[in-house]
Parts: sequence; structure tokens; C-alpha cells
Amino acid sequence: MRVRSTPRSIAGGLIAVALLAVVFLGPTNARAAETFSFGPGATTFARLQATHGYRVNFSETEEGYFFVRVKGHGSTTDFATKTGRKAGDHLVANFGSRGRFDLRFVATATEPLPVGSECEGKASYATGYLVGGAHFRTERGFAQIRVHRVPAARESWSRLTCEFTGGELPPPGHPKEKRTTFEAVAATYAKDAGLFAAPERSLTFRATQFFRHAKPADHRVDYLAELQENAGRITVHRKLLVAAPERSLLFPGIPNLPEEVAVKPPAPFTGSAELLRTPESTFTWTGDLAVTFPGLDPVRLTGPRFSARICNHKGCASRGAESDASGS
Amino acid sequence: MNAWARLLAAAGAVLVVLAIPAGASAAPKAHPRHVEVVPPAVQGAVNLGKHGGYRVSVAFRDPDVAILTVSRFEAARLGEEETKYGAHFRGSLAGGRVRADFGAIGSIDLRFHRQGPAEKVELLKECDGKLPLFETGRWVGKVSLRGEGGYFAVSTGSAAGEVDRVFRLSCPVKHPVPLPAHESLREQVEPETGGSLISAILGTVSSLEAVDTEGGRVVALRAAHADGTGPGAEVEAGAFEYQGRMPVGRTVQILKAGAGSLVTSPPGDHPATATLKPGAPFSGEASYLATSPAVHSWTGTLAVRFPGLTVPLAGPRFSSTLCVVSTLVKPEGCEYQPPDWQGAEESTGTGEQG
Repeated sequence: MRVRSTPRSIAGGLIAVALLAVVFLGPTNARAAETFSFGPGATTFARLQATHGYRVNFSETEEGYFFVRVKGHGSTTDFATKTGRKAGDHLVANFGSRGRFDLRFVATATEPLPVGSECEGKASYATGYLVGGAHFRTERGFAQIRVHRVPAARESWSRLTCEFTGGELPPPGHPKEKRTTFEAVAATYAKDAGLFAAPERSLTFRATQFFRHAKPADHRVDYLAELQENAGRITVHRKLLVAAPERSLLFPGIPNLPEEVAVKPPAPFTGSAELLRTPESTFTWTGDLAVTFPGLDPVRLTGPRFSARICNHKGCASRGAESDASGS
Repeated sequence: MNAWARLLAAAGAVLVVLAIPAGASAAPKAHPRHVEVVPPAVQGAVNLGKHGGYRVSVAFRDPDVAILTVSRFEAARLGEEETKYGAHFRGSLAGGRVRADFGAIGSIDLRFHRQGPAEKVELLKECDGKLPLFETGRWVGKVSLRGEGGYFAVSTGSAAGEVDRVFRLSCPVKHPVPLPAHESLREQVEPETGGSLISAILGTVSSLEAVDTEGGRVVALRAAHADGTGPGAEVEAGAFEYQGRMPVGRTVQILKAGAGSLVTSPPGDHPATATLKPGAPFSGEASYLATSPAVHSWTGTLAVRFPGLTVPLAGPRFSSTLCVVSTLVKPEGCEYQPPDWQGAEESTGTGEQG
């Protein structure tokens, strides 16, 4: 009887092919400076205070997208729609029942904007007002605005050519800052979605445990909930982030099963959840953990439709989502 | 040396040579420095169709290897059952005439009749020499084969098939390619165990292996759970023996056994335990128990039905080993843990045929 070598050979072959692809398809010289060109373009934006302690930013970009960001009380909700319009002085966007924007930018002052030593080109920054009419109301009215005149700014630039000489981009944060990360994701795809299609709806729960001596002690664990909805004309991205002390994240299986985790995050989360290893060496992600995004009913964050992955400094353990399960 | 293996290796080398100048446009053009010689060879196949639920075929490889393969695939559980019988054929594959004796299973005596023009395999245009030819047609003569206990039976005078001819080729390559080693008849029949592609890529978090090498027959079992996959283990078993001078290799592989098929104690738990109950074509169940770090047992009624043979997969004749890891403690998975083989006792006897 022989130990099969084929899978390893195939895996090795795949790795070799990937390496070859990286070598041949990658930049010809990673150490050399990279040059990027973009523009010309402009973006117009405004910030204002909404109801119930929330702030609202909105902007229209050169690519024909209109964004509205509602931020406050630890939550961020982004609404985006494609207008298809070329950016100009006239901002128009229709968010259906949530609201409409029909504003004209009136500049009162313009000054050149430095583009930095790495870039060649010209840019300017104009301040002034957006005048006209706009109203926006989030689900259940947790934040709303109604304006006819609002201070605004407009950045515009000619074609910019920038040289990036810094080599590799620095990693986001020092890896030692994080001890353990846990993430559970439930994604729903359209029936005819292709292999690389974005999900119609994606719900993510993430817990990050920081370094043992990170200060303040009652902020050593971050809990994040994200809900991204791409279906329809308007995409909505909701995000909630709260900090909590270490006692909110427990590891009941230590030392033999450090992949087992129990979480009980603070409000706006409710309930608790556990990732447990079964005798079959699979994982269950169960509990009554839920989160309440502003303007929405509580959303459950556990169940078989969630994939889950926990990583520490040595490695990761994961479970796949059960696609035919209904979850919450 | 298998000419087709050599041909594929040369093809890979030529493709690499061709890819290098395309990928590095600024680099000077690569100059092939070596010549890979692909020797002439012929191989053929006879498709005997489905009999008793099994697909039956015979493959011929230079210089004189004939392998009778009896197999079936179950899509629902990604399960495959296969038995291979090996023999040395007489005659000339290049001349299209072969006679092979598979002992108690039967024999074949066939002549190849090409139908239609031969198809040129335009794989290696960079090479010097006549291009390989692919011929389809019918093998005509006598086929009389019957599996152990009659699990399949074929008796025919004609069957569809093919003959592939590789002529001597000289291929310029930049670097010599490590070529696969020559495989004996035994090696071509012997079942291979060791896991699926999924296991190799993801790594396994639990695995159980058992082997019985006594009584002139080697029987091996492996059950494993790959990291991140859902309930249900992948389970495979293999058996190898000689029936007279004929090597016989059998394999059963289920990539997705039912939920609860392999259940183990958590990593680091004492005593370590495991239970395996994979379902058909396996039957019964078996238990692993480590009463101390130095002593463990593998007992139960677990058996497997290979095509043509049913054998037990647990008992005192089996050596066994169990691995259960946490990938946050041992991220390499079970593949890189030293096995702890224990348990085989001296005895004789073989399984039950049919």
C-alpha cells in the first residue's frame, strides 16, 4: 500500500503555478517607483447636524455616485446610489422614500490645494454653499435632515500623476496588538450570481482581542457588526463598533481547545454566543446574540448560515456556512 | 519509463520556457540549453461498458502492462469503489494485438481495428519528430472476464477502444525536468491512500488510520476530517494482494460520509477515544480507545465491501493511530504529527471473498 502522493503533488503544482503567476503577472520590478495617473475630477461634499445627535455627510463623486453617511452613537450607516451623472455644480440624487437631493453649489472662495511632492498636477479647494432643497430620513427616522442652504466644499483636480516610492504599503496596525480575532459572516447571494459576485446581503460579527496590556483595560476587546445590503438601486452599509473589557470574551476550552470562544458584548448587542468544537471536529456557532442597528429590528448573529473563523498568533480554525439552513 | 509521463513532463518544461520570455519582457530571451528526448511508446484502452453496476475497462501500457479496472462512482457521497487486476500481456501493442491472462478472473485476446483517420496530438510543436497519434476504433477477438463471486461478468467479441502512439521526440528545454520514476506492474495496481485534495489543501484536524499487513494481504483504512468542512468525514480503505502472480488492488473512497461518521474525543483529552461508522459500502462500526499513552486498541465490527472482496477493518490484527489537533495549537494539522502506530498482534487468515 502506498501513501498517495497525487493530492500533495497537485497542491504543490497549484502553489507552483500560483508562484509562477505572481512572478510573471506581477509588477516587473517591485522595488522601483510606481506611477499612477487619475482625474481630472471633482467631489462636492457637505456636513451637517441631523436629529437625535447624529451627523450627516453627503457627497457626489466624479464617477456618478452619491453617498450619504449618517454617523453617531457608535454607529455608521452609509447609503449610496449611482446617479450616472457627471459631477458638476448641480447635485441631484434620488433615494426614494428615504429622500432626495437637488442642490446647486455656489462658491464663495477658491484656493489652490497642494497635491503633495509625489504628484504632478493642479488641484483646488472651493468653499461656499449648496442651495436648493434636500431632505433625507433614515429608517424609522432615527436621523433626518431638511435643508435649503448648507455650507459645503468642492475639491477639484486636473489630471494628477503621482509616484509611489515607498515600497510595500505598511501593514494596518502592528500584528502584536491583536491577540485573537473572531469573525462570523452570513452572506446571501442572488440565485443566478456568478462565482465572484458580491453578496446581496452580508452580515458580519467580529470580535478583536487586543494585546494583554493594551490600555484602557475596559477597551481590550472591540466588537463590530456590519450589515451590507447591495440589492436594488441603493446600497446600504451599516456598521456598529463598541469596546468592552476582556471579561466579555471568554475561552472556555483553554488550554486544549483555544478555538472555543464565548462572547457577551455590550449594548447595542444583546445576548451571548459560543463557538464550540463538536466531537466531529466541526464547529457550532450558537446562542441568542443579536445586534440592533439604528432604525432596524434586532438582527440575530448566530446560526448555521454563519461561517466562522477564529485566529490567534499561531493559526486559525474555521467552519463553513451551511447554505441550505435558514439561520435566523 | 512511461512515455506519456515523459511527454507531459517535456510539455511542462517547454511551456515554462515559453512563458518566461512573455512574463519578463525586459529580460533577454531565454535560450533552451537542454534537449528532452521523449522515447517512442504506445498505450491503449478497451472500454467494456457497464456490468453488474460497475464500469469495466482494460488499459495497456508499454512495454507489456495490462490493467483491468472495475469501478463505480456514487455522486451523492462523492464515493468511488475500484478494483484493479494487473497482468503482463503478450503480443504487440504497436501492432494492435494483445493477449492477457488475468488468472481466475479470465482473459482477453484482442486485435485493434482503427476506425477513421488517426488524430494528430498537436501538443508540442516546438519539438522535433513526428507528432503523437490518437487512434479510435474497436478491439475485436475474445473477452471473458468474471469477478470474484460474479460481481461483474463480461463476455464479448468486440469493444470500443483506442490506441495512442508517441514517436521519438526531441524537445528543447531550458532546464532538465525531473521525470517520474518507472512504475512496476505492482506499483500501477497498488491502491494509494493518504487523503483527498481537500485534505491536502486545508489540512486535517482529526484522522484515524488502521493497517493490517498480515496473511499476504495489506488492508488499510483512513478516516479524516478536513479543517473548516462540515459534518461527515472522508473515509477510504485499500487492499492489496497477489492472486497467484496477479497483483490485485482495491480501493473504496467516500469523500463525504454521513454526519457523525467519525467522532473523537477533543484534543488533549485522556483517554483518547474515537468511533468510526461510515455507512455503505462500509458496515458496522469500530472504536479506538487509548487506555494509556502507550496502549490503545482498535476494535469492533467495522468492515468494507470492495468490489469483489469484503474484509474486516478492525480487530487485534490492525495497527492503528489517532490524531486530533487544535489548529490554534498545531496549525500544521494532523499531516505533520508523528503517527503513534500500535496494536497489531500475530495471527493468520484472510477475509471473505464475494
